[in-house]
Amino acid sequence: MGKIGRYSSMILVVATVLPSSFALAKGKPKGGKAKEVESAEVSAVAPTAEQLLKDADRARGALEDGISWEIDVETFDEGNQNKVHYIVKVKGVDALAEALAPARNKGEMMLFNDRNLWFFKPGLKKPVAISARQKLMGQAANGDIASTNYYRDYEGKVVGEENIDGVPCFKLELKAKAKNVTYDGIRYWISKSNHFGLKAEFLTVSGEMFKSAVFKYDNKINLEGKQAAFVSQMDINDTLKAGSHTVISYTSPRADRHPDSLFNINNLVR
Amino acid sequence: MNSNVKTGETFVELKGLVKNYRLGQTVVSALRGVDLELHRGEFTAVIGASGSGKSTLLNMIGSIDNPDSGSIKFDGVEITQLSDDAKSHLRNQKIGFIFQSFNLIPVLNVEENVELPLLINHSISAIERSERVAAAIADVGLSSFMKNRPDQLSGGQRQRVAIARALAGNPDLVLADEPTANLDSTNSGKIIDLMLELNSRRKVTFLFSTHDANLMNRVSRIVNIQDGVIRV
Amino acid sequence: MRAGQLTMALRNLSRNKRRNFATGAAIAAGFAALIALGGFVNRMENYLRVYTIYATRVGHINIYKEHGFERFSTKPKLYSLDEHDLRTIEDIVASMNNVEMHGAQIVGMGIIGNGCRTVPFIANGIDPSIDLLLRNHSQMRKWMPKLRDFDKGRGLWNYDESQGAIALSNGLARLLGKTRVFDELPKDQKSVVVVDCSAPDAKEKISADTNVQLVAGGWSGMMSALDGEVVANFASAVTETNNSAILTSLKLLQKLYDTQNATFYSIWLKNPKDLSVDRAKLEDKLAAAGLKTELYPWMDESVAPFYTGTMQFIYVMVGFISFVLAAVVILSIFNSATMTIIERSQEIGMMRSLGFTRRQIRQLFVAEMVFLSVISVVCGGIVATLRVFIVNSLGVPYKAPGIAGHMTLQLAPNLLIVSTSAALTLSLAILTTLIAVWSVAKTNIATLLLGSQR
Repeated sequence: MGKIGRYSSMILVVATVLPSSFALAKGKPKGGKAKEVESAEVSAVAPTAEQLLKDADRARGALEDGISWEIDVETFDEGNQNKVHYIVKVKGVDALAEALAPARNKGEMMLFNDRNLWFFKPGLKKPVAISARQKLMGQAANGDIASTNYYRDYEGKVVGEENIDGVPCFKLELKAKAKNVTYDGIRYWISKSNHFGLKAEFLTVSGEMFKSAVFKYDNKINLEGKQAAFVSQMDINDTLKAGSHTVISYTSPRADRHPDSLFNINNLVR
Repeated sequence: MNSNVKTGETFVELKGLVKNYRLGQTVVSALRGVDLELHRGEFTAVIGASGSGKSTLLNMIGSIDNPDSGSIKFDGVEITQLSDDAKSHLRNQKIGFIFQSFNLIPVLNVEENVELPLLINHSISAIERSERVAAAIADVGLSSFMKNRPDQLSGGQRQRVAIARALAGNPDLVLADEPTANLDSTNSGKIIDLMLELNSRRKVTFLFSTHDANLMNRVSRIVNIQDGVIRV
Repeated sequence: MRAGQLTMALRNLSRNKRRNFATGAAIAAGFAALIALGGFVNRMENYLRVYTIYATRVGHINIYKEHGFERFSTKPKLYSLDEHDLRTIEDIVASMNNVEMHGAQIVGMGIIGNGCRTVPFIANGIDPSIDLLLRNHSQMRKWMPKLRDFDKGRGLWNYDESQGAIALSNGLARLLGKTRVFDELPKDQKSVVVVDCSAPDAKEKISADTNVQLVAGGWSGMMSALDGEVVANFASAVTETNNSAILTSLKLLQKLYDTQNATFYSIWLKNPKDLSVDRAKLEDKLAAAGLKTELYPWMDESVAPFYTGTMQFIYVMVGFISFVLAAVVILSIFNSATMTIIERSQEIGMMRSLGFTRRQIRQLFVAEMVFLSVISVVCGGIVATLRVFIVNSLGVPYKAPGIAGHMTLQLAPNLLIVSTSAALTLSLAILTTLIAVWSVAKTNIATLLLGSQR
């Protein structure tokens, strides 16, 4: 039964990536062009927590109105291994992830309308609303990392500097701004040089870590002729269950045009 | 009726009987070394002032109290050494009691009251029990009152029932403690007459305590007890 | 004792009518109270027993995978009975004489949605034909007639497997806005998709069909979802599950959790008195077949915590009340007996003079108390019968802790309770009288004859 938690987080991990479109939708002026960034501009002045979060969110997808990429979500849990291939489409605060493989999962969809998450699959007569915080089967194996727009959802504070795998990072403590945010708190390490988020630890109400994630940024996305770094891997570990982790591999990030109707739940059902 | 009684034979012997009672802080010597013999067929009165030890003496003989020292033999058996059940058996078989206040069971009729001591005598059959009861009641002249309850009888009649009850078991000895104390003089006389008659006819030994001077003229023997000692 | 002594004992009851009446009333009241208490306990015990075994489908004996009872919820695939286990168990159980019915069950959790809202559920999956047998069981008819039937709709056995029939607890149906059941809708009714969940007519649209979606994590790690049709609503016997319970077929849940396994296998016996014998036989056979399983009888605290916890509480509570009752009755008898003995001490002396032994004196007083007690017990029995009739007729509803809805106050004394209560009452009366008369019978006869004079 606990697998649902793992699976839900798998889905929600997908949603995690979708996330930052919120920041984009909020921050970007209408009709404006995306910023060109090879990496986050490093100011001579020490950056604020907000700036760091914005930059880190951009490298994880908060770049352009209308993006697509593909992900492989692999879960490893006590000998069980599952892999699902998705195509993810983002526009503004909406996002849609559709499973393409394996056959048993083909056609399953997760739709984000702002913070509302829907699940649908062919054959179901209606979509199912899923809450990011909701524990589906009593344990969330990888937690709800949905709706992760760190800039929008968390109050950040730089609390120090640490090296992560030899890379100097700012260490931030994030506290949830609202009750319906997925985690009550996050510890986040952002690279000092390029403002990429390298590591996150997800905390319970009492401040105990129960999940962690590390990120890689080997992808490049071509936006209006300019190359920008893009997340290539997110590796999520369950602190409470050794050996249980989920790896999300990102491929083919690209700018894309999506009609609004794509993100309408009622169109999905029909 | 005890047809096998040998009149004059000694069957109760008391030797050196001592009995003390504690009344609060005081120790009262009720009997101070009493020697006495009772002979079959006697009609004996024990006289003495109040507190002289009359009742105590009767209680000792009747085995309803125990001496502090001394010997009591009944038919040659030392009764002070008997168990409680053995004493109960002795009383049931050989001794009849008549009380000053009658002590009848109010919910039982005359016949049932007289039958009472026979109920626990398992050596006699129901028929014999019934016959003895009828005979005892007839002996006291109350045959027509068999179904009456004590509250339907006069004082004298009640004492007659008590006498019948005492005799129903064909005892060797009847002990009566002040049997006429609660009766008027007429009834007292009648009761004594009855006891005398029964003594004569049934050959039952009677030993009773009394203050009544009228009775002393009619007894065959008087035992005078003063301050716990028998006076000759 | 001879007839004459018994006659005397009986007649002595009339010597102090007021006191004997008071004593008798205390005995009668105590006896009647014992019957009422016993009837309450008996009813609760049977209600909870039948609820556990039949209503919640626990079964007299439940077979789990080894360690499965504790660990199934965290690792369902590993700690469930697989197809081989189930086949083997079924063969073994089918060969046992005392088995009335048997079948696999699956339990699980997930979320259930109505197209707008999702809420958590706890589901129980069983073969609908077994559910039918359980509901029609004589024990259910006798002790839980109301819970036997669905509050709305018909049982799962009336529907084809492909229809995805599910029954919702009343609270869950309310939460989902599913106010109707499948049979209440026209045959060609299509499911209604709510376009705007915040629209004023959303609630009406939600209740226009009986379609729901069940979502759960499959046991192999992938999320699963399927449609269900609400065919019935039921009252969950326990408050905690009234807003989340689902009953459906074993096959539907196996499909949802993507497995052919089952959580446990239940056996209902014809004669539950032989439970321990059957359990031992089953354990041996399962071990001989090479299965690693654990057997839980229905009254095991792990399997039936509500039953064991509630009954323990009731037994303690009723035991304490009975103790207080007994103390009151004992004191009443002791007081009465002591006063009687003191008043009749001269009479006791007289009877001892006549040759009555100590034992015979005690017998007499005990006989008097036995007569009084028997009369009182009979009267108490009449009072108790009337009381039971009145209470049961009134149908007083009350809220029992942990039980959804209201229970009806009912008393169900049986022959065992009545006879045990009578024996207890009589024993207490006799014992108390013996204690009261014991020392008096040993008192010096001359002292007794003096009465209050010395």
